[in-house]
Amino acid sequence: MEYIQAMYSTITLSATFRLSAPLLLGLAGYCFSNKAGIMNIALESFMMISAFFALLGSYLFHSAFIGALFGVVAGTVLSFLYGVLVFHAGANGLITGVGFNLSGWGLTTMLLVAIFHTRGATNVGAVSFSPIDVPILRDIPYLGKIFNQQTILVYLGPLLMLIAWVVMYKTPFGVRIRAVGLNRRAAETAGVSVMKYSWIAMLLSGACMGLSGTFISLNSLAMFSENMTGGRGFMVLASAMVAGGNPLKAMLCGFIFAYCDALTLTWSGFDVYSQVISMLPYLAVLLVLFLTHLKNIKSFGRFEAS
Amino acid sequence: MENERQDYVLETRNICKNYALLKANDHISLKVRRNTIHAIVGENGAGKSTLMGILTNVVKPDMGDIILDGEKMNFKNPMDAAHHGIGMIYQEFMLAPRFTVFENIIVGFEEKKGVFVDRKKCRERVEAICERYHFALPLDELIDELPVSVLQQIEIVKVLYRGADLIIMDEPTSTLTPQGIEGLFDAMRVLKESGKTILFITHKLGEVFRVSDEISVLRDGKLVGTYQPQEVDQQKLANLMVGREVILQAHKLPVSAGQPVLEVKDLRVRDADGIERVKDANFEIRAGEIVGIAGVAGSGQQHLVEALFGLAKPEAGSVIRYLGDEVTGKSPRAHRADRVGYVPQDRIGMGCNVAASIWENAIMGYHRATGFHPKWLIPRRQAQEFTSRVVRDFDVKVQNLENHIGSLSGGNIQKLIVGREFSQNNRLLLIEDPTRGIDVGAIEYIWEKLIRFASEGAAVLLVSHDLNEVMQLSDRILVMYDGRLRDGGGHGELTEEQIGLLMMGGEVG
Amino acid sequence: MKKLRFTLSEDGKISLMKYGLSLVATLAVGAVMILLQGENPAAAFVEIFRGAFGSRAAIGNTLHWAVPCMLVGSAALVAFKSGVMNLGLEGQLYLGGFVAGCAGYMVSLPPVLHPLFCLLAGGLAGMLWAMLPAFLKLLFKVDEVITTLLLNYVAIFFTELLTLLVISGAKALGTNSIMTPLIHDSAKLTPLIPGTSATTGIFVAVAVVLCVYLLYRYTLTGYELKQVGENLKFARVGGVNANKMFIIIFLVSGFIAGLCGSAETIGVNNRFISRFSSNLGWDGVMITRVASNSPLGVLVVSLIWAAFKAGALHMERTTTLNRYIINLLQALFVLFISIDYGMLYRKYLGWRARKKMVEEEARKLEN
Repeated sequence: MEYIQAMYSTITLSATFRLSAPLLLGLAGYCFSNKAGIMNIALESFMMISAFFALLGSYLFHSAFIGALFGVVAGTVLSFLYGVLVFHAGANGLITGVGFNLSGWGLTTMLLVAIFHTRGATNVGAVSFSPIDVPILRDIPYLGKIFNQQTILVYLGPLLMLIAWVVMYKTPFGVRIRAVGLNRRAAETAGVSVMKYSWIAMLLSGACMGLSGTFISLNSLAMFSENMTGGRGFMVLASAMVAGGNPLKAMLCGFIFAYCDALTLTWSGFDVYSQVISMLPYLAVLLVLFLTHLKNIKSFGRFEAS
Repeated sequence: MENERQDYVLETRNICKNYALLKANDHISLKVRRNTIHAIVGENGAGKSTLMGILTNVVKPDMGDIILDGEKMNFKNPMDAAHHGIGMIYQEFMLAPRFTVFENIIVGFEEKKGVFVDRKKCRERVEAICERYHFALPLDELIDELPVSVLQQIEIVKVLYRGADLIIMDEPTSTLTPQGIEGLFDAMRVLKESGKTILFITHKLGEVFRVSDEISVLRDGKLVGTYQPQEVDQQKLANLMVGREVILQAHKLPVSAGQPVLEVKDLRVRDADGIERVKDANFEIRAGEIVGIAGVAGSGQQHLVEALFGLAKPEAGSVIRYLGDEVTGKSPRAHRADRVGYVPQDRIGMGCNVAASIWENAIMGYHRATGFHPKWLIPRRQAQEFTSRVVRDFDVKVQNLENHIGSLSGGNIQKLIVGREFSQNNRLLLIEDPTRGIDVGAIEYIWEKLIRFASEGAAVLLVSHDLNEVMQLSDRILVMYDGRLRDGGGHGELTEEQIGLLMMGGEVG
Repeated sequence: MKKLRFTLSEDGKISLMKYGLSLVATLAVGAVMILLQGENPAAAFVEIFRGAFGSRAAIGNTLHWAVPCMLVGSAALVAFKSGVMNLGLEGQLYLGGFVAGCAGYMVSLPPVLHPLFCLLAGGLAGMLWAMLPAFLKLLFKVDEVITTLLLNYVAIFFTELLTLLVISGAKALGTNSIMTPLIHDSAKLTPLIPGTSATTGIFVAVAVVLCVYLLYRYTLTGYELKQVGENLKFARVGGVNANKMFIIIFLVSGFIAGLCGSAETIGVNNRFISRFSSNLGWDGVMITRVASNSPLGVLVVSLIWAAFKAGALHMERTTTLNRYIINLLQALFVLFISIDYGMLYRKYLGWRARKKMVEEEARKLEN
């Protein structure tokens, strides 16, 4: 029974809101890449490396905002390098992605040991974002407990997603980027440069993954440890794939996965194997993928290798 | 001077474009009168598409000038060409799926209000265009479900929305129904009356005479000439387009047709977009016979062959019989096992694997149909023996069987592919463009082999875009036009011009 | 009748350029990084070499690391050679390791038979785990890239959970201490060089690489697998059943990945330890990439990879550098390798040819 109660407790819902941030922040940029037809598994490394640099920036300058700047710059630089390899040097996107992810793991762990002399850095003197006490929200009975006392990054997540939605569907930029993904040649004949828009989408996803990495290392507790992102970059990828790049649908996916993530926190106090709970977010993604592809059963046998 | 500016809306001077060894456009100087429908006709590969690509700046010319309204143009990108009033309607529609009709029209040329799309203003403009030129478009529907004729109208509205004065239409009728074609022609006349100029690219002669004011003929990358419709007739035009020196002469052997090997009844095939590409095909091929299918590219030959070999699924009711047994819808693998061979048109994409060695390419198909001993192995010696046989019999110039096939010339690759299919005791061979893009010596060689192969009792379906090839080799000729097969007579029964006329949709009287 | 030729073919030049440039670039980046950390790059490389080949123990270490590298490299090769993106090697490896661990202590068998049984069981477990994404792709067209990626994480927690259930011990004490009981002595792989960590697992690994080599070189299935990967349309026209090939690829790839996990369990740890792999599965992807999908190449590259793994640990002990720099450099090398030098070269040639032609035409017009 207590499980059920935990499922809708304010603690769980508040954690859901909080944990949605890394997904939503990243999705706000990656949705554009997805719409432009770019599959990018290197997101995980973007997130991991920018998380580390955000911590480093905050550590060096004792400011969470400079940390965030470091994170965003790191993410953008990474996406730039990835773009050069994949768009211009003819490298296979997936192999490049694997290379990036492993570089990310190697680089962050190496720097972690080299700079902080540990494989898990906490209390190194970096400043994290502190929760904001919103005046009116504080007094609303139920919602206040859920939405109040979060850091700016958490509020930024849904906000950026809404902006992304507006940009995607209400501006020329959005129309064009969607056209690029749907029919490259048609876009090209409409004077829309596929290369230019792919690049913008790529850099946007890098910058946004930088923010989401910042959340990982600087939200409320400033810390970084080996493999800290734990596949959240892949979850961003999966959410965007399920949502077909639509920011609102992607936001919904993000919340669902964040909810499962939150349950791992609230259920972990109970008498249940923590591994079962830890699997939940990943299983949720797989389940959603499975359900959204159910309709494809009809076309069985028309397999084309990618 | 002033007069000339009025007269010609577009002029090209000495346009040249080379692709590797091919001269796609060879000093083309074309003049298009304002306010006319100007037809550009020519066979496949005559250089039409390249020329249009250059006009819209999708293809960059090697040299030459484009003069628009008397002014020399120097387009920087396709957008630039569009802004100067050149609009193109592609044969294959440039529409984004899962976009609405409206979004498809405005993309790239959105009216802006601040940073946002000014939907209202865009909408007003689109509606005004629709009203002026009498198009009724479902602007808010997704384009996925709309019929082809509507898609075509969307394309027209799209170029008008972009402010085009010169509209290029690349074979606009190829996917339309007769009613759709009527509608299109009406629209073209309305456009002309309201001051637009249309470049109408086609190879269907009937249509040329129905709508055009002037006709330019391209052949082998060169402009043959520009004619008034009054001064030429269908036959003359066909001659101008196909007339080519015959360099090669095949030596046909007399054949006695045996048992029917392939029987096709009511075969209908749709493509991925649901358009019927093969319409009620009926024919048979007997042992020892070469049946040739002539036709302009894209008339449905590809889909016909794919259906025959199991790569595409025919519509219900179609019947394909092979040696008396129904084989409709069987997989390529089953066809291979039944000893049906296939030489695809796309030599590099389907016919061979450029990343693999010569012997690996040579045994494809054979490895399943005939195979080696033991069955699950590919013993090097046996594979090499087979490959050596192909290489020897077909005079493929190779240094080492382990070399990549990519290191061979096009002619040698084709000899190897053809040789591979000929050396497997196949009873039926589907062969597409066996000699495209290869040197004369290799062509002669392959022709001779093909004739001998048939005379030994195999049935051959030869699909070729080279009319001369079909005429030289075939015992019976079928002409494919717009998805339908038409009778082209026996060997030597009709002249090249007559068949050319059939290919373009004319009637032989 | 082969003649000895000293000129390189176009392909040869390009691959020489590829490996040469990548190596130089990686070494340069590595040297800069080591300098930044206040160490001497040359000394660091010497330490790595010493750690890999400098003593009997060092050689033993290298051989010990070569086992998982060769196995997981072969697993990746089978998938990537046929153009199938099995990024789930890590997960398949965990399942293999866990099942082998169980087979090692639950079953009693005579010495030689027992390790073989463990390997087989682990391989089958990896295979079953690989079937999941394969069927999702075939039946529902769910992209195998994303499913295999996510299943890696599921596999880690799933094997941890199973371990806890199997030992039915108390609740988790912290993830690092989750492990199955020690396996029987009969299940352990025999040490190869006394006093070192090299085991007979190396024979298994070499045998697997050789099997993969023979598969591609002599069998019908191997031939078809290769053709499917290099040109799917060509293979289909030639009568190859692509769906069947797809299943075979996942089965074989998963099986070998499972073997790799088993070999780690019964050859190194002597029990299943949760999270033992630390990205071994991804090493496989890198190895096959560097080896250009050639089985014998995997053999060589695995040895190099293993030497670096063994050497890096030694370097960490003898210098202030940490071993992650080697991981980073290996990944960077893969990134440099994955650049399509052939394309860049051809682009350059085309650009040069066009320029030349335009100049000639201009000259013609002038005359």
